[in-house]
Amino acid sequence: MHMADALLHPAVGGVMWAAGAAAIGVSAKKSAAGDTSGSRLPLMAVSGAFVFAAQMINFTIPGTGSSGHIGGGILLAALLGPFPALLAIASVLLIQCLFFADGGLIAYGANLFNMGVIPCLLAYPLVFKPIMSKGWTAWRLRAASVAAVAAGLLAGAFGVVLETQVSGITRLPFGAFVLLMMPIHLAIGIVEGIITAAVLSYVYAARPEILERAAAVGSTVTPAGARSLRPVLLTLAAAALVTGALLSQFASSFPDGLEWSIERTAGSAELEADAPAFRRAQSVQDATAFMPDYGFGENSERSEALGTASAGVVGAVITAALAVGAGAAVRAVKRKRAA
Amino acid sequence: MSAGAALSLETLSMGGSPLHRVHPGVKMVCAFALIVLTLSFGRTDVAAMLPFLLYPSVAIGITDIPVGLLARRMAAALPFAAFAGISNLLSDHAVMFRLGGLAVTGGMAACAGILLRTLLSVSYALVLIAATPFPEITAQMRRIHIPGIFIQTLEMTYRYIGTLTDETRGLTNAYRLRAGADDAGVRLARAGSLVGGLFLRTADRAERILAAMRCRGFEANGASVGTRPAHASDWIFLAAVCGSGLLLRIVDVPALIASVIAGMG
Repeated sequence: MHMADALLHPAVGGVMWAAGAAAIGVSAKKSAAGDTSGSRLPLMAVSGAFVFAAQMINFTIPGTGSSGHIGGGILLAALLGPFPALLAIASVLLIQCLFFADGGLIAYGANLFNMGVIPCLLAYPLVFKPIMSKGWTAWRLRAASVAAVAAGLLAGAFGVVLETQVSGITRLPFGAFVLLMMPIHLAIGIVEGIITAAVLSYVYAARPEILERAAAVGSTVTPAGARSLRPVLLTLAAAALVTGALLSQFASSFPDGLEWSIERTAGSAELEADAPAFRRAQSVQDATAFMPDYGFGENSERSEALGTASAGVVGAVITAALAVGAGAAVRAVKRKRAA
Repeated sequence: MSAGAALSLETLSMGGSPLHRVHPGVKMVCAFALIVLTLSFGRTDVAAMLPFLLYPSVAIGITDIPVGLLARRMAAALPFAAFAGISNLLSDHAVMFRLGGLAVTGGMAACAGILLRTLLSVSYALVLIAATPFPEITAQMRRIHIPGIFIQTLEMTYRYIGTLTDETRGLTNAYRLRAGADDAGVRLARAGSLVGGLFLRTADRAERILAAMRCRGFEANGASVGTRPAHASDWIFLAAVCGSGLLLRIVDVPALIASVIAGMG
């Protein structure tokens, strides 16, 4: 469910970064509270690496021929408490983004929100904890795990759809996108929920104090259950609104920002150049721009456009060749000097 | 995904190329700026985006990053991007222009645009991490006041991924040897004992790590690695990359080249 940078508009990425940063800030504060010695830190950190490593284990799903692996958010929230779990997930996502191209730098905030904030700070306290509040039984644990993991995954998948749609990169209709994403993530959520329940049952049977301590971390950090989430949600909402309001100037389209700058510099939003080369460039650009100003340009001079379109494609190929060739030339020169 | 790939990137980041010597904060700002500029193109502005290939191309040439490594990272990023790209092919049939007998639709252009954006944004991030040691990146994060507990979690997670990956491999190998299972996977019924056992080992390891850290005088809010100040050359690098990026964002280079070709024709 990792989103790539290519699917996000920078403004949407910025808003989600603000929401993610606020969540990390609140979680860091809550996690550090009452842990001045840093004794919780190693378990948080190694748990992040644990999630990363445990995702390598693929479990066969009977009767389907497919496989699944652990999720992470709900499992870590139950093992560490919601706020330390969010920090561990945030670390894993950043490492996946930087070292494994799983997600992108601009998409990091969106991925953190979809795969960290939603399961740890929403699904865990609102679904998992209320079900488990009547005491630990095997069936209750299974029900809580499946319900919380599935709810977290469905909400996260819906987040992916919303963020992609708002970015305007894909033209897939909203309804079709939702119908594609929801059923598959419901199925994944049920399998991940079953695995999560099995792991939690095993840990509870072997070392109950780990889960009891995590539940206590959650309850001391969030003394009144869902009600104590209010500051977190308010912070997230405020950060998203403020950033959204600021970035909405650019969200309509980034070139507006550029045009604004150019207008301030040159006195006009459109730079006017009258040299023959610029006039020829303009005619080629008019013909080859796939969607000038995000509109389907009806070209009235089709025959002329065909020739200029061909030139445009050749121009694009030459540009790409020059760009890639520059790197090859640098490498060749380096090797020649080293030889 | 393998921990070995992270280790090979870590080895690359210890290199001594001119790009390695640039201030880490400057490289981080440049990477972010280039990603934002690339993503700011319209969904079908494929040709205008092509000049941005120059940055990863030259950086890969300077730093000797294996192209195969980039290709493998691209493969990891591709599935979701390809899904979105193909969905455009299916949903946007409006003809943009014709090239000979080929009708180029908005869906085709958008699909190509998504794949090119993915290639570029993955390359920028890869070059950043291959030319900057991870501790220098986290030191810059401290400078901008990102919470210390998050950075420490990040550093330790990164450090222990390799160890726990090896431990996981050992666990699954032991399972296969005992169960005689093939490579298809582990039975769902064994999830609890296998992953739960891994977590318990992880928790024990965390306690040993904490004891070792305390023996070495660890404090929760202790001192961190210092960073060198940016030199004039770093500022010139920043201005050159961001300035040229802005210029390439404003000026449509392929269209200019095409105009020269059209003028000659």
